[in-house]
Amino acid sequence: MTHAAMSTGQVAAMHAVSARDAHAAIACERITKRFGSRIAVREVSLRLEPGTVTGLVGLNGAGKSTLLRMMMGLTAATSGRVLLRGVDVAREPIEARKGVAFVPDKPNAFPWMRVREVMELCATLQPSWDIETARRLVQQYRLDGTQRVSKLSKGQGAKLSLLLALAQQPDVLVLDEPTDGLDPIARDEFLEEVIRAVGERERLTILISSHALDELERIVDHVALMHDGGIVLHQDAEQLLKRTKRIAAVLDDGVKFEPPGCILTRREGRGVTWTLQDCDERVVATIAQTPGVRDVQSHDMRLADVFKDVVRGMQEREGAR
Amino acid sequence: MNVLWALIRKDWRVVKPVILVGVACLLLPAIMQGTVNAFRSDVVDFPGQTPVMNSSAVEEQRDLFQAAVTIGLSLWCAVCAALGGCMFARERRDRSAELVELLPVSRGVRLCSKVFVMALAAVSAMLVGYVLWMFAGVVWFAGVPVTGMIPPRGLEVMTPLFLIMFIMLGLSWMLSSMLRSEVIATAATFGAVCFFGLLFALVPGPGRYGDLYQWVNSFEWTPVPLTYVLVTLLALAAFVTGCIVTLRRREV
Repeated sequence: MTHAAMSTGQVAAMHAVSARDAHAAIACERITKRFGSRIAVREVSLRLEPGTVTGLVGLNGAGKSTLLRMMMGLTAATSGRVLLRGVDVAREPIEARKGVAFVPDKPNAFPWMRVREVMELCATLQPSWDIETARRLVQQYRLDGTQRVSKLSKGQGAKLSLLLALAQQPDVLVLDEPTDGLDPIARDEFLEEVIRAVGERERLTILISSHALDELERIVDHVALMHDGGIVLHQDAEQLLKRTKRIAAVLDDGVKFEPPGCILTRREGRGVTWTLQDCDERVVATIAQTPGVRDVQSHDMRLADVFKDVVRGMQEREGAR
Repeated sequence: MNVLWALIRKDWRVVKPVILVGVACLLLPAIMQGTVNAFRSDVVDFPGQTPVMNSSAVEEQRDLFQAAVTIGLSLWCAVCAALGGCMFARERRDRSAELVELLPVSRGVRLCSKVFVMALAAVSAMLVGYVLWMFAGVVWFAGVPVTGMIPPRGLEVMTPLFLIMFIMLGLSWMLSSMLRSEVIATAATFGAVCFFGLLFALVPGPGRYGDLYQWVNSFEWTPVPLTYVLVTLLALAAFVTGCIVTLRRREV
């Protein structure tokens, strides 16, 4: 239905912000993004509470960057809306982005400017810019103020982007694959800085998209998994890792058994490995007592393994259809 | 005011290389011709004991200098395509437009800064060219103690050059607001203006004159006021379109 076809009441209802969304740091309401006939983001609804650190993971092309760019108002949603701290980013972009900072996958500061000049420009144009924080971070990140942005290494470029974001004293920090292409040491250093920022600002909400899942596991308290343009999982990270198990067992000949909550099954001879969601000791005990199922062993999983198994499971189900 | 000033400084630096090239194009022909003029020995005759100004040589000097300034201004007009082309597309290509978009500055203010920088550069260059042109007329005309010399032409040559500059700036501004490549915006503008310029017969017909000297001396533009009005309107429409595209842009 178009705006013109709606009554005033319907339009008002559409723009009304629920109390939950108004208090959320970021709230996406059924946002979709189409590029021609291709759907990059499919009716995503996501709500991030203040003070949480959420990792957004997914395969290349899953729609993570598009989603983050829509959240920041850099890309227009085809339908749906994004609220940043209760304000619609499409309708009031400047007001909505107050207190929200963005770290892109590649530095977007003027490549021909010197680091010092970029900082001066941002300091003039950004009222919330904190000079002391910026100075401290320059020293901490060992950035040379006289160096041109285009001459910075990838690691330094990522740190400059983080500096430009943190010096704004944000309440919400959105990071789009900031460690992409960094060497392991630079990646570690970058994530240490993010962890430090979280420690320094208690109510800082972070949404970080990354492929470095082992590193991500260290800092996130929530995980959102994107697949084929949609959010297929959004959960507390600790709970997810606690309740997702890999169960190895041996099946007797002729036994065809798959436990409930199984997202991926791997067979090798008579040996079988199941990846189970919502798995606890009771479920493991039930499996062990199943006739024909022997040598049941339960293994904890890392975030990277959970991600891989969930995605592989979905791909297998899509392939089977 | 600080915000606007910071943006103006930033936008100035975005187009500074183009402006420097443009200034060089504008001034070099005049400097070269002025240098040649300074070393000419046929300006003063010595028919007797008293030196006398050779009026035809002085007039020729003036005409050559004015022709050089005209060439400089024409080159500047060509550079204007790059000036407008860099205004938005360069920042969009290197993604620094995203950084600016995320800062709490309205698009209107950002647009004002760009308009100011472009207008300042364009008007300053044309003024410099015009002053040089008049300088040639005044200096060399004053140096000739003869009557009946044709006064230096000014506005009738400047008008079409201004028009070409307007259309170059307007079109490249519009294309720059739509594209992510300043090179394509510049090249497309240049190509379009040359193509339609020939169609509208804004430039003198090629081959009418035997050599450059004659061509420049007979510099007459097709006196069709309607063409001038149309070109001005077209330039304005392109400029306004570029502004609207920028203000209403949904994708950075």
